[in-house]
Amino acid sequence: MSIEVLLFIIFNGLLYGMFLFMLSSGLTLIFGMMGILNFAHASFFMIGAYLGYQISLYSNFWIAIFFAPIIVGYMGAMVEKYGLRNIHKYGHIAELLFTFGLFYIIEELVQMIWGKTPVSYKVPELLNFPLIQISGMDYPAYSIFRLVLSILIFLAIYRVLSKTKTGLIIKASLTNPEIVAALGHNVPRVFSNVFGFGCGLAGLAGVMAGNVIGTEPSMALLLGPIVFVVVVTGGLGSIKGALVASLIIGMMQTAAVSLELNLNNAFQYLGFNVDVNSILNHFTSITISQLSPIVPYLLLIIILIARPRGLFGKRDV
Amino acid sequence: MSYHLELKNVKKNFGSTNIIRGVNLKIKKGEIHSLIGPNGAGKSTLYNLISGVYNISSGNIIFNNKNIENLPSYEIYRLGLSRSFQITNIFPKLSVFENIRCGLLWNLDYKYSITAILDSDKKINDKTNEILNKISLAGFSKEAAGLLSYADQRALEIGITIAGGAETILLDEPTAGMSKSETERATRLIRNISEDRTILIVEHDMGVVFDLSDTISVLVYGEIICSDKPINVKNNKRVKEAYLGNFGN
Amino acid sequence: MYSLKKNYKLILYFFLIFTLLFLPFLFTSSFALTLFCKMGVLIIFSVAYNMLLGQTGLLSFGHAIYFGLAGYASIHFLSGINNNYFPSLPIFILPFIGAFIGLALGFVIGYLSTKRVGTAFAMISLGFCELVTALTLIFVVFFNGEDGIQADRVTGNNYFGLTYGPQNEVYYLILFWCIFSVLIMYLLTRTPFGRMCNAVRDNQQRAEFVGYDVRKIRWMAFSLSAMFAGAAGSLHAINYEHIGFESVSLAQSGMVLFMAYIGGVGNFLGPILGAISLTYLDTMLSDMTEAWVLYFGIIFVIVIAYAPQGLAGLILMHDPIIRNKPSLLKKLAIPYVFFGISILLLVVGFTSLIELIHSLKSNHSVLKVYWIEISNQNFLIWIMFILLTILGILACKRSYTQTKTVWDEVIEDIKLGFIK
Repeated sequence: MSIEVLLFIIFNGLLYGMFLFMLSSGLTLIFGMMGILNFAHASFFMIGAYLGYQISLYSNFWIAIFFAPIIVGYMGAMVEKYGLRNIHKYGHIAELLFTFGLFYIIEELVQMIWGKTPVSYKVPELLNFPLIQISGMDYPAYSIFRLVLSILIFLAIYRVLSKTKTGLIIKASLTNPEIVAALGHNVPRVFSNVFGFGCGLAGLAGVMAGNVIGTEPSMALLLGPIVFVVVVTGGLGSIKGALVASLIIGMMQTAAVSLELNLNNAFQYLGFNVDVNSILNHFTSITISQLSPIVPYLLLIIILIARPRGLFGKRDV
Repeated sequence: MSYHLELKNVKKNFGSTNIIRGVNLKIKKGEIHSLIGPNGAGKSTLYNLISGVYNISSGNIIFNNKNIENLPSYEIYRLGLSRSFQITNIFPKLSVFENIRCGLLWNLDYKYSITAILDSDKKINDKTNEILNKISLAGFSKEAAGLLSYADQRALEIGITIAGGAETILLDEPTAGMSKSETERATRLIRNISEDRTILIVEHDMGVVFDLSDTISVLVYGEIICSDKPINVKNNKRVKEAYLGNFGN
Repeated sequence: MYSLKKNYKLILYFFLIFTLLFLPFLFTSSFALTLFCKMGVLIIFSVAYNMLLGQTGLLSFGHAIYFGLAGYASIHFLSGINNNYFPSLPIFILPFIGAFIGLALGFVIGYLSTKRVGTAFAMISLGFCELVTALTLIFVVFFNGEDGIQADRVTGNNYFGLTYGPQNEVYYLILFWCIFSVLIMYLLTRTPFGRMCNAVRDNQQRAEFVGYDVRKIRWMAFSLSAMFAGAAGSLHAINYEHIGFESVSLAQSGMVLFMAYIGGVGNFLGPILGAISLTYLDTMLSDMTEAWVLYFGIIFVIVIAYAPQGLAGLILMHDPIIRNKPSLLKKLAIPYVFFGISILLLVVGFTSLIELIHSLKSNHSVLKVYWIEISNQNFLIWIMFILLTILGILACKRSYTQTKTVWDEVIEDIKLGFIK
C-alpha cells in the first residue's frame, strides 16, 4: 500500500471519524446517564441541518451555526420533559419505542415543511476554497474548519466532564442516579439538560455536515444506526470512548471503501482462477469496498455479544 | 454425621470488600433454621450465594452430598432447593393461578414442552388448586398477581416457592413490613409448610424467630458467631454484645 | 355456567370462520380481496412478532429478516418450479419452506442475540436488520438489488384444481394458513413453554427459581417466532409474486412493531386487532392523505404514553370490573362519552391543520377535509382549526383527568372487595 493511499485513509478517516463523534457524542452522554437509547438522535441531527439551511437563507451561516444548535437543544429538552419523563415508569424499552415513534414523526414533519427532495444547503462562501492538498486531493477550508471545531468541542466536553462540578454531577449520575438524587440534586433537571445538550450537539453536527453530505429527509434513517455503533463501541457514557470509537469506525470504513480487493484476487495470488461466468464469481468478485456498509453493523453485533461494555465503558449496555 | 445443607468456609468479596468472611453453617434435615443478624451482616448475600445468584469467591456449599457452589440458579432449584426473596418476587402480570402453576411445571416434568396443553391437564390444575387452598388464595385465582395486597403477594410467593415440591426452602424476611395479624397469618403458613421440609429463614422479627426455630444462627459482619438452640442463643454473650452494640450505636 | 360460556365462544369462532370463508362473495372487488390477503399475511406476521415482544418481553427491530428472507427463498423456489429446477410441488406447501428458512435463521441469530436482553437485545436485532438489508443490496445474484425479484405463482401444476391464478384462490390459501398458524401460536401460549415465556417476561429471576434456564426459553421463543414470520413471508411473496429489499428492512420491522404495539402486546388478540386496523387504515388513508405515516407515528407515541397495553389492553382492562362488579361500569359511561367527544374534537382539528399545512406544499389551494372543501388561502379557516385543536387539547386534558379519577375510584372499589 502506497503512502499516498495510507495518508488518504488516515485523513479522510479522521474527517469522517470526527463527524461521527460530533453526531454521536451527545447520545453517549444521554444513553450512559439515562439509559435511554434515543432512536431519534439522528433526527435531531437532521433538524439541525435543516435549521442551518433555513437560518442561512435568511441571514448567514455563522448565525445559523450559533442559533440552530440552541434551538435543537431546546427541542430536545422539551421532548425529555414532556415526553420521555412520563414514559420513564414503563421502563427503558418503552422509552426506546417512544423515540422510535418520534423518529418517524420528525421525518414526516421535515418532509411536510421542507419537501421530499434535498434542499440546497451550501458551504459558506468564506470557507469554500481549497486549503490543503493531500495525496492529490484538494481539501476545502470548510473541511478543516469542521475538523478543528469538532476537536475543540471534544476538548471542551472532556474538560467540563472532568474538571467542573457540573461534570462531577453528570459523571456521578452516570453510575448512580439514585444516590445523586438522594444528595439533593435535581436529577430530572440534570437529565433534561443533558438530553437537551446531547440533542444540541447532534444539531450542531447537522449544521456543520448538512451542507457537505446533503440535507434531505432520509439522512436520519441513513445515519441513525451508525450512531448506535459508536455509542456501544465506545462504552456507556464515555466521551473518550466515543472519540476513539468514532475514529476507529471512520478509519475502518474509509479503508474498506478504498480497498478494491476481492476473493478473486486472493485466489489468483494462490494460483486459482475463478471462472467469470460461474455462480461462484458472484460471491468472490465482491470487493471489500462493496462490503464496507456492513462493517459498522458487524462491529455493533460483535461488541454487544462479546463485550457489552464497549471499549471504555464501566457498565454493560 | 452428614448434614442436609452445609457451608464450608464460604467467602465472598465484591472487589476488595469482603462481605462474607468464611461462613460455616450446618443445617439438619427437617429443621427450621433461622439466620439472624444486624443489618448489613450479609444475610441476603449469603442467600444469593447458596441459591446461585452470585458465584462464591472460595469455599464449598454442599447440598444433599452434592457440591452446588457456582451452579446456575435453575440447576440448584432442580436439585430441590427453592427460595423466596426479600422484595416480593412474583410474576405480576400473570394470574395468581398461573403463578403457582409455573412453580409446578418443572417438578411435574413438563420441561420445555411445546405440545402439552396445560388447561386440559387435570393433574397440574388440581395440584395448583391444592396449593392455592394451602396459602388461602383460592378466591383470587383469576386475578393478576400484581393486583393483590402486599401480604397476599408474600403468601403467593411462598406458594410459588413450595409449589415445585422442593424439600429445602430459603425464606428471606417473609414477614417484613407486615402488620401484627398479617405476621401471625404468615407464621401459621410457614409452620404449615414446614411439616415435611427443611427451612432456612432470615427474619428480623424476633418473636417469629423464637417462635418457629429449631436452631438459630447469628451472622455478624460476614461471620457466623453462634449456631445453637433458641434458648442458648438468647443467653449467648457474643450475640448480646453484637446486638446491644448495634443498638448502642 | 362455565361450559355455557365456553360453548358460546366456540360458536362465535365458528361463525367467524364461516364469515371469513364467504368474504370473497360479499366483497367481490379485487381491491377488497387484495386488502384481505394483505391483512391475513400481516396477522400471521404480527402475532408471530408478538410471541417475542408481548409474550417474552423481547423488543426486536429486525424481525423482517425472517419475513423477507423467507419471501426471497419462496420466490426463488417458485421460479425454480417454473424453470423445472425443482419438482413441481404444490404452492400450498410453500409456506412450509418459508417457515423452515425462518426457523433455521432464527435458530442461529437467536442463539447469538438471546445472550442479551432489553436494550442490548434490541440493538443486536437492529444490527442484524441493517446487516441483512445491506447484504441484499450487495449480493445481486440472489437478491437483485433494489429491484428485488419476481416469479409467477401460476406454475402450471394444479393440485386439487387450484392454479392460484385468481386472487380468490390466493385468499383461501392465505386464510387457511392464517387460521392454521394463529391457532398453533395460540395453542403454544397454553403450553409449559408458552407460560414460561410470560414468566420470563414478567420476572426473569423468579423464572430461574422455578427451574428454568431463561435463555433457553428466550431462544426457543425467538426461533419459533422467526419460523412463523417465515411462513408469513412466503405468503407475502406468493401474494405479490415479488419481493424486494424493503421487506427485510427496518421499515418493515417497524411496521410490524407498530401493528403489534398499537393492537396491544399484552393480549394474544391484540396484534390481530392491530394488523387488521392498521392495514385497513394504511390502505384507505394512504390514498386520502400524504401525512399518513405522521399520523401513524403520533398514534404510536400516544399509545406508548397513555395506553401501553394497546387497543386490546384498553378493552381488557375492564375485565376485572366485569367479573367482580359490573354495576360499576355505569359510573364510567359518562366520562367515557365526554372523553370520546374531546378526542374527536382534537382529531378533527389537528388532522385538518396538518392537511392545511400539507396543502401549502402543493399547487392546489382548495383541499378536502372530512368531506368538506376548504381553501388554504382563507385566514378564517386556519383560525377555526387552530381554535378547534386547542379546544380539543384542553377538553382532552380535562376529560382525561376526570376519567382517570373515576377509574381510580372504581379500581379502589374492586380492590376493597379483595381485602375481606
